[in-house]
Parts: sequence; C-alpha cells; structure tokens
Amino acid sequence: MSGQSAGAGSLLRTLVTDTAGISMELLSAVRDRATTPYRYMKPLIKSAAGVGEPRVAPTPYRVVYTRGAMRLLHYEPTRRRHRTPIFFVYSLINRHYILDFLPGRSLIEFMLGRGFDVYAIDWGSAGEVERRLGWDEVLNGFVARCARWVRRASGAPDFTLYGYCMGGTMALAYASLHPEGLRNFVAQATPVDFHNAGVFTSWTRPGRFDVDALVDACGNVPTALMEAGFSAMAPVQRSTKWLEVFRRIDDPDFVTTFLAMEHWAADNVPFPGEVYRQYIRDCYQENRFFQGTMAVGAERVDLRNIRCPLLNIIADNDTIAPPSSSEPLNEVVSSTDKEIMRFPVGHIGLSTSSKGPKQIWPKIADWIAARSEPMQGGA
Amino acid sequence: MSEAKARPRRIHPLALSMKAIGYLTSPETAPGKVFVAGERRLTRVFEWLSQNDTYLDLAGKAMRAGFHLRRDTVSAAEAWLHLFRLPTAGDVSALRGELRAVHDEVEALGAQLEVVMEALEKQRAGEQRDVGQSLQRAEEQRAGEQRDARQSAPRVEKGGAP
Repeated sequence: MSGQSAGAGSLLRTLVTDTAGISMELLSAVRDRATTPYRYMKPLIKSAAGVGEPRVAPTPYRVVYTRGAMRLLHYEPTRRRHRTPIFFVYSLINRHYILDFLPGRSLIEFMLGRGFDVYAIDWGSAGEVERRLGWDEVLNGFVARCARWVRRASGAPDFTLYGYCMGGTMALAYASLHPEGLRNFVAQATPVDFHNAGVFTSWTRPGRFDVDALVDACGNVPTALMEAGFSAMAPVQRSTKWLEVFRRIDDPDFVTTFLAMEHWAADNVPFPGEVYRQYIRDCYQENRFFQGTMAVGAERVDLRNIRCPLLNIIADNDTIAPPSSSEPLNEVVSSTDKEIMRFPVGHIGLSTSSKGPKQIWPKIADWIAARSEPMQGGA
Repeated sequence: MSEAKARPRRIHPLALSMKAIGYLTSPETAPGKVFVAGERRLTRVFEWLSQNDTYLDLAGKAMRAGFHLRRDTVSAAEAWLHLFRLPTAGDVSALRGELRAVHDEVEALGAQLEVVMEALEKQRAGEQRDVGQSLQRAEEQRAGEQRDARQSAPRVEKGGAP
C-alpha cells in the first residue's frame, strides 16, 4: 500500500516537473513566433521518451578565421595521415553542422578518423550587413580568403574542395574562378543544370516567381519563407512524420536521431538578399551557371576551367538537387579524372543516414585519400 | 535480483497517449489503414497542386502582390517616421547590424591574432629545437674530434725509452 502511494507520488512529481518544463519551452516557442512544428513538439517528445537535447555538432573545433558572421572552423585529426586538407563549403540556407551531425554519424568526424585535416565554413546568420553581399564578395572575398587560411593553417600547398548542396554550386563557381591551389573537387548533392532541378525549376520560373519583389520587400529572405518552400514539397508528410516518432517513442536512438534532424531542419538562417537574387535569376531562371555565362564581378563562371580530379556524389532519391540536375557536371568540366558515385538515399541521407559511415563515406574517403598527398611520417 | 530490475519500467502518461495515437494511425491497424488512405489522397491533391501551372501562376501573382504591398507599406511608414525625424525599425535594425559587424570584426581580429601567435610560438619552438639540436651536434662533433685526436696521437710509454 505504502509502495503504491510512493509510486503515485513519484508519478505526480514527474508530471508536475515535466509539465513545468514543457510549458516553459512551449511559451518560449510562442514568444519567438516559431513557425516550425519542431519547437512545439520537441518538449513533448523529449518528456515522453525521456531523452535529452540531441548532441548535434559534437566534434571539437577551433576558429581559424572569421569575417562578419562567417567563421572558418578547423577540425584537427588525432593522427594526420594526409598533408592535403579537406575544405568543406556548405549552403547559405541551413547550418553547416549537418556535416557534423551526431557522434558516430558525422562526416567530419569520419574524415578526421581517416587522418584528414578538416576545415569548414560556418556562414553564421545573415543580418543587415550581409543583405548587400553579392556573389563577387562571397566567392572572391569570403571563400578565397578562407582558402588562403586553409593553406596557411594546414601548411599544404593545395586542398580538396568539398561542396555540399548550394555550397557545392558556390564551390564550383569558386573553383572555376580560382582553379589554382585545388588538388581535388568533391561535389555532394550539388545542383548544376538548374533547368532540370525538379519542382524548384517550375516554381521559380520567370514571370511566376518575382525574386526582385521578394528581395526588395524583405531584404534577406526570411527563414519562415524558406521553410514554407521546403514544406510545400511534401506538406502532408511534414505533419505525419511525427506519427512515426509516436509509434517508436520507446526507441531512444530513433527519437534522438529524429529530434537532431528536426533541430537542424528548423535551424534555418536568413538567406542574404542579393546573393539570393542572383542565385535565383542566374541559376534557376536563366541557367547561366550551367551555360557558363554567369558573371561574378568582372569574370565569368566557366566550369570548363575546372581541371582537377572531380568526384560527383549523387543521392538517387534527392528532390532538392535531383540526379538530372547534378549528373551533367561531369560533362562540362575539363577534368580527365572524374567519377560519379550514386547512393540509394535522399538529399540529407548522404550526410546523416546510418548507411553513411558504413557504405557511403568510406568510398568517398578512399577516393580523396588516393588523390591526396600523404603526410611524411604522420603528425 | 535488484529491485530496479524486478519492477517494470513506468511508462510516462504522455508516451502512452502518443503510442495510442501512433497505433491508431499505424498502417498495420484498421483505423490506421483508413488514415493512410486519406493521407495518400491528400498527398496526391498537394502533388497535383504543386505541379499545376494555373495554381502556381496564381500563387506567384499573390506572392508578388503581397511583397509589393509589404514594400510599399514599409516605405510609406518609414517616410512618415522620417518626416518627424523618428527612427524606423529598419534604421534600428541597420544600426544593430553595424554594431554586430564591429563586434564580429573585433572577435575576428582576436581569433586571427590567436592563430598567428600560435603559429609564431610553434615556429619559435621549432627554431629553439633546431638550435638545441645543432648545439648538441656541434658538441658531439667536438667530443668526437677530441677522441679521434687522442687516439691518433703517438702513445708515450711510461717508464722511459725502450
């Protein structure tokens, strides 16, 4: 009897403390006018499953260089086996830590384990100052300066440039403008032929999508608008996917991975206005990037200038950068050593799925290692 | 057997309700099958909409009108506020941005200085190690030379000439 009353007391205590915690988090979401379901569902799921905050971006790093909101992060391997470092360029839309997702599911952690010296750009959150940034300043200023710091800090004469998603498009543009100092290029889920880029090609058609009106009205593209765009790709699944967590609420690994993914998906940053204007116009609407007529400053982005070994990684089920948009890259570059690797996953699955550390990343690491300068005696 | 092991794990009431919702919407249960059928139908409708040119053109027009309205409203409000020499939200946001940029620059200088200092320290440590090694080498060489000189010098027997 006394055992039952103690049990009821502990249950009541749990309920009271949980309710208080949930209420605080929900109030905070309402106060922030959060538009993503994640902010409202997270406290409930965490409480029901008894899990903590997902430990995203677990790999330690140090900041090598910063400019405005941007930071260049350095991840140092315990034992460096390759002199040639890897320099990751990620998209301006989301946060970079999808590459350093969770312990044991981090591409960056995996590359460190393989003995690579790793650098990654974290674009930060665009504010008023970044609103006026153009492609010229982003590529010839930010990325070029980061590339110099990568060479300087690693002590290597060249590096492997690794672009992901829109970061891949930007990295390709950079590589065509500054092919010197590039040893290898890896493009992961990178849209190249924008007239074959699935629903986005149709949605952004000139006359239908007025990018000037958007940028003139909003400056930087608000996160809510970007989220609405991504939600519109699969609006029903966006809501019903939470039911799968309900069903598997007893599986803490599944719940943690799910929450980590949703945390990242909800952690969008505003897209710098002028970069967005040129991105939509020159890439999606006029396909100038693919045709070699996109102007950046006084120069032209011509993918034929890329001559270094190239690896094109494509996700078969990618709806953001569909295979039809990524595949043509290998036809337009001048590289003689070029390869396409395809994997049966989605856009994000390349970096976060359980297949990553077992089936996807070892192949990528082997390809890069075979084309990197080995470290003399290790470090 | 410990008490913790003997007692079954208590399920959180919230988890129970979630599991119930999950069960009712699972494709393996009868109500779930109905739910999944409805979900599929709704998905087809949204898919059709997302590819329908008329709908997309209309949505595009609505968005454009909304953006123009927003731009005009904001610029009119700003013009009025400026007329009375009052700061607008845009002005405050711009000022905040400038301040943040200055803060970022200071932070950047600090971070870069740290990296440079680290590189210099590494270089100085390397130089000191090199100097130490060359001193040690010179010392060893001198000791070797002295040893050689001693070995090659004519040996003088104690006790006078043979």
